[in-house]
Amino acid sequence: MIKSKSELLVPTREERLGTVCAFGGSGKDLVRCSRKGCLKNRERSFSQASACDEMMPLLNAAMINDNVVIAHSPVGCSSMIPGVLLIHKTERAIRGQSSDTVKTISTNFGEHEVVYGGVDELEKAILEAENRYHPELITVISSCAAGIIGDDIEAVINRVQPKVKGIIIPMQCEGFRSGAVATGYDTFLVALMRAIEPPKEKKKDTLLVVNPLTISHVNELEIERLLAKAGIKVQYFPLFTDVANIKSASEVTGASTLCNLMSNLFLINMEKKYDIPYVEPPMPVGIEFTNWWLRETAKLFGKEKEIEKVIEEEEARTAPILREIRSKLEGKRAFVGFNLARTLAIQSLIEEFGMETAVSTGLEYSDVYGLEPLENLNRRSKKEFTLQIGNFQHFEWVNLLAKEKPDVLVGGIEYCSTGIRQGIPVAPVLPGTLYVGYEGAISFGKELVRSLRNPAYARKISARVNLPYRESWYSQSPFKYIGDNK
Amino acid sequence: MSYIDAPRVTCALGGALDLVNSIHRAVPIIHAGPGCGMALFTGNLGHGYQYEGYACGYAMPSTNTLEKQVVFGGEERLREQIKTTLEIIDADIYFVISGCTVGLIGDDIRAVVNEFSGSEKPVIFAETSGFKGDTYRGYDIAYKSMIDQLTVRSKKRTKGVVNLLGIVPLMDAFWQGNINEIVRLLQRIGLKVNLSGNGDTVEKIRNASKVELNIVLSPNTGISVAEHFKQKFGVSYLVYPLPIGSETSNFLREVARALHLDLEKVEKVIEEEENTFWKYLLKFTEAHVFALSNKEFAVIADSGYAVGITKFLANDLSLTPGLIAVTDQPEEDLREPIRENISKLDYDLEPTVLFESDNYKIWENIKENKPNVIFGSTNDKIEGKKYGISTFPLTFPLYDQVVLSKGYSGYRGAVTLAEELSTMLISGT
Repeated sequence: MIKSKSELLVPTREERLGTVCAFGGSGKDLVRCSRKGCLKNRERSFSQASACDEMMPLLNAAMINDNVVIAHSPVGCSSMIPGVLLIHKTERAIRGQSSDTVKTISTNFGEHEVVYGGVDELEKAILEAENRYHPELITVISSCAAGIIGDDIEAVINRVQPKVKGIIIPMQCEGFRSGAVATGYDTFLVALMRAIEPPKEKKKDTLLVVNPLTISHVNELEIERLLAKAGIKVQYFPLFTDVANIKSASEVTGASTLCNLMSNLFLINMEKKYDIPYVEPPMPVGIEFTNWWLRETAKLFGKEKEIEKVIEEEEARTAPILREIRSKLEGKRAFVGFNLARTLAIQSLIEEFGMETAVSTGLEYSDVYGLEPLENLNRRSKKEFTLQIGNFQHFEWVNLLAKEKPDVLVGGIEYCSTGIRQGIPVAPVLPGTLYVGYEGAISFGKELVRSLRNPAYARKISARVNLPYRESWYSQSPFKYIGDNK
Repeated sequence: MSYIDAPRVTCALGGALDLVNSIHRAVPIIHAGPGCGMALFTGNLGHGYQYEGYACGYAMPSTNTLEKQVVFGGEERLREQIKTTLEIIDADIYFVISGCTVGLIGDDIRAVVNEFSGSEKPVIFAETSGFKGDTYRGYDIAYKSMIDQLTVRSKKRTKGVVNLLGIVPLMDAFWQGNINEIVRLLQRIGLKVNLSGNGDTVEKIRNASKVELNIVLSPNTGISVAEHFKQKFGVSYLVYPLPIGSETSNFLREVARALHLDLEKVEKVIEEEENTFWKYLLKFTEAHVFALSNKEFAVIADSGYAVGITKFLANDLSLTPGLIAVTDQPEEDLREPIRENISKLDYDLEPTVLFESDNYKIWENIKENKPNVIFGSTNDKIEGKKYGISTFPLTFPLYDQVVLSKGYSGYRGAVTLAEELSTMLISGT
């Protein structure tokens, strides 16, 4: 039973953590600003398509097995799902699960619904989801339109829940609520807690690891391998797994995360509700951050000694291979493009390869996950690097790429296609890319070496691309359109 | 509107965006929530992974309206965004398209856009809130807005010049290939195509009223645009769903009659084209026996494809039509002509025509009738595998193949289709 609307609303990241989505300067500038308390959320007077608050709940919910996603919205909102179906297909295949479609129902708001409300259609859609698929879970994802017309989603759910087998989980995520992608993650993960049951037993030495859709299963396997050596078992949460595994998430004895940018509020709430201690170290990419992650995580189980032995063994085993890779990468300059948690972790890896970060990016910044790793990198980097914080914002990337002319772009697909169009070879992180842990360092290092060896496609394409920006844009500050504090 | 299981469309804003991305040096200015542009672009990966448009994808300007705008209105933000877009982006046309949020809060977009009427390059707008309808509807709305604001009034008709309407760029992943083949054939019978739907310039949009005829290649989408042209500029139009295979000859004859072309000359072109077409299909007999003989097919596609695909497979390749599920939502008065058109086949065949966008209902029928092959989406392919049915990937969402240049229209497209269909069935993929 949902008692009130406010029960469904998580605070936005801006409210809760003072997250900012617009910053341009050096990594050191940002830390200085944060320390002085002058880091304020500013707005851009020119902006480009970005992620919204609805996106992460919708796309992640689509990756839960035996779940029907109901997009309570006009039909266009759910059309982002085809964009992640390749991830769905690939990640299921890596786990030995057969290809399947994502069950999505759109309540398909028309002019009628925006005038008279969409709750009737929502009720029908939920009952039909039950009738057609008998799923274990039904996630109801709200939208800008549902929010503005003020649909009483919780009343519908309370009414129909007794009629369906699965648990109905509303995710209150109007696209306009927050400029920070992570608010959507909070909404998604905290809402899923409704499916978690009180523990029937406590599983000894078992760690819950939160992992979003963008960190491939091959990386989970690497973490499992390393922790197993220290006697720690892993249960991943919440994607590509049976709903039974979601329900039993409270039975673990510790919790950690592969992406500390997205899991914060969930981990806090799990500790409050089920007394599960947690840590949230930076993403385990590169040797330094991997060791950081392993050490903090092992502390939860008093396995400090065991983990030191694992680290010692792994370091000795991989050092010669990594040295060889380093000899091919040393001195190369990179643009690192992801959301901040992954950016900083990858930056740590490329520093270890003797490379230099020219530019790094994040969709958002908050001290909770950003400050410590950023200070670490500021200390270790040979040169100051430029840090762009923006919810995407292609024009700033393009300007920075043109100015800095890095040797390689390491990034997600959105950054990579941008880099290629400007003649920069790329090392993408895709579904199936291994980059976490020791094996990840080796595997991704080799990928970097290959990316630098043959830039033919990027070079030829860039000679023929007409980017839409005026020539004058490239000689201006990339952060010109970030306004004053409002 | 009724809920839809596994939608095969985006929204009105998506259709508008597809149109803008198909125009030469055009830039969309999305006045909508922060995720709309990104969601629709991400969804575009379902259009065969095409990164199409002058300022598409991550480069699309967008006002990204947040709570503040929802409460206080988004006009000031739009004004600022148009101003800065003109500053930073070098385009031939700036096209403001709006989403749900601003439609609900009631921004006066026209007033704000009018403030930029003195700009060096045109700034125009269309109100395309997602709740106004699907991709097809959005294309129609944006197209009409575009000609209202750009196209010059002219009584002058330039002989032998036509516009092509009705193929929604990207929504039809094979749009460029399909358009190119139709343009090639129209040129062969002596016509010039003004607006083709593929890289049209502002100049051509301005002069779009001077054509002799609008040809609408869908029995649904584009008709209201052509009707608008007729009311406004007196341009008559011909509706002919995208022709595939020998049906193309009938298409060319109808166009020739509508424009009073020299029919003998047109017949000569048709004969040449058909000779080449049949020459390839002659080579095909062995493969046809192996792969296609007496197979039953189902089509799950918008009305534009449903007609042409059915005619080609039935009339040229002797396949048996089963379910033809029409997934766009034509107005009631258009449905009967579409049904008739699909059912009017050379031999006494009786396809089951179903107007349905809900995936579950379509699949109830497929599971019951188990055709040998489906023409549908990648989702249909995954679903089909469970029942041992092969699927020819044709319609949105298409996320397991990359489409760059090929098409299935006309004579050449039909040969490609025959090659790929039989390859798929022989190789068992």
